[in-house]
Amino acid sequence: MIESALFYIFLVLTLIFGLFVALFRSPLYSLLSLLGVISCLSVLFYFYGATFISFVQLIVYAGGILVLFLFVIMLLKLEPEEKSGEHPAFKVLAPILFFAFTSAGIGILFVQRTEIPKERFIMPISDFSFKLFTDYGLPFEAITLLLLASAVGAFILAKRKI
Amino acid sequence: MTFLSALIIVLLKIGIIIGTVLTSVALMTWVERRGSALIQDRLGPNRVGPFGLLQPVADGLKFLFKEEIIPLEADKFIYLLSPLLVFVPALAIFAVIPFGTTIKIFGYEIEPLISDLNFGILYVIALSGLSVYGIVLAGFSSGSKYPLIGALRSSAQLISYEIPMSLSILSVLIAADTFSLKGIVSSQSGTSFSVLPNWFIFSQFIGFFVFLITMFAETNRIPFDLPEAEAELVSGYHTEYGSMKFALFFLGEYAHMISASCLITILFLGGWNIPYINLTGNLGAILGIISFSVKVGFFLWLFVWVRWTLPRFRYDQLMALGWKFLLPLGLLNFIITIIIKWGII
Amino acid sequence: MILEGLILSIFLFGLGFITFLLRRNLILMFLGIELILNSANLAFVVFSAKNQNWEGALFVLFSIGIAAAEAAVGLAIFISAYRSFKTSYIDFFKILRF
Repeated sequence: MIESALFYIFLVLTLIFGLFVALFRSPLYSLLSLLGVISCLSVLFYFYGATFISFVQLIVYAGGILVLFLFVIMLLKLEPEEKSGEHPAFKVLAPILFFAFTSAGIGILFVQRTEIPKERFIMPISDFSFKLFTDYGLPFEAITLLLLASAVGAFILAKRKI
Repeated sequence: MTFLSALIIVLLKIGIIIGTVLTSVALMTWVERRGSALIQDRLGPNRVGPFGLLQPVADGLKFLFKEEIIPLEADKFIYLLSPLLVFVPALAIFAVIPFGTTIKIFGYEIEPLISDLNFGILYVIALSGLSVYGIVLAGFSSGSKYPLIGALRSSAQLISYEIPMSLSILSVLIAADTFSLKGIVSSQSGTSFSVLPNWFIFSQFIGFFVFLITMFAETNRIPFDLPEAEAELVSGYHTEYGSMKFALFFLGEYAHMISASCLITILFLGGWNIPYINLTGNLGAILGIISFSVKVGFFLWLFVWVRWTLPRFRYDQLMALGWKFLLPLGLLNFIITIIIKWGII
Repeated sequence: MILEGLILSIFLFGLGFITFLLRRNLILMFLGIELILNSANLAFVVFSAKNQNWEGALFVLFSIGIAAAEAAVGLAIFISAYRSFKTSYIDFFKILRF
């Protein structure tokens, strides 16, 4: 009972932080709200049984990617947005699109009823890593190449003089 | 046991552990000042209580009564949030640290650790990654140039030294075969060849060396003290902070130091294991907690000793040390561990 | 629990989508993209919990890796664009227009 109460609290908290990402004017506050979203999502992953993935999300996303964003915002001293830059059509169009899309998605969910398991199945780490290196070896090596290429590419793109 | 009794026991454990940590932090300030006095051949604080032991109390009262100043250029919400972001991860690491074996009191079996997470080590690495945020936001939200430069240097240092730290932790995990901290301590019990204790400091001394140096860097202590370098940066990222906010930074740094010493003993020195003695029952548990405290105390004294002995690194020397020296050493240790544990691949 | 997770995933996707549309600052558009990626990760984890098959969560690992690579390159592009245009508002990035 406590567990499902905590689950719903973090669900609502994720939604609130997501709203803050969309609505805050200053880039720094939006970034901190995104940090809140990612931490709450990490807790939600733990509730679904994917324990390893929840920690990986905290270490990589919150500890690596968002720090990169924070450095860029900090060093370039980006100003909070002013309201006059937007095209007026977008202010009306975007909430309409949001509600249309979300209600369509939720409608599909309620139409398709499928079997929901009762027990929470905790991910065993040894099976996971075994599959990662044998069945999914090719995507794994491809990701390492991709990260190397992006590191070199980011370095060259951000230099002042090549 | 019922839910209510389990809840009360956990809350009691949290209270005891946080109380002990905060008292140790206050005691560490006293140790630092008397220890530095000993090394520099002078007396330290000796007026406020017997041997100056009430000096931390006097310091705490001073911090409470000072005026709270917020600079005009500062971003107020983040300026007030940053000391918390530094202090809370340093305390939160104590949720997974095992202090000893099980104690039996009044029919309850109590383990002196708050939670035995299956992935305790990943929790520790995640919290070390999250502790960058408090420092960067503190420097950025202060609205002046010295904190900004100090925050940049400190975050670059913290992020660079996370990688050799993770590599040395990884070698320990391969040797211990488990992610939970209690399992790592248990796998270091007993002796091999009936002479040498099974501690990982003997079987992975390169990893121990790398981890010790990265722990100095992660806690921003001398010789990796450049973010707070007094002569150059007017106290770095906590320049614009006074009274209770500065006290929170201070407490956070010492709490981080204590948790780093606890991690070094758990990962490399066998936690609560005493060599050649098999610890059982209540007496064994108490002896285990005492031996854990002695080892942690040794590393805390080492932190103080190194601070007042060595000069500080320059920034490029610091970066070169992290990337060009510790990272290859960590990889070397990793490869040697794999070869010894699983045969030549 | 499964249903609530999927509804949250759809809402986060929608929020990321309108962040991407409504913002004029390039960095904030990147934040919207990251939010969309996270909603997809949540959907992966929810479905792998439903089918009790952990290969879905394995894909989240690759998705996080791709997000890291894309964030690095995107921020590098942003920095060089900021240097050329001296601003980060996309209203001013219109040299290639006819």
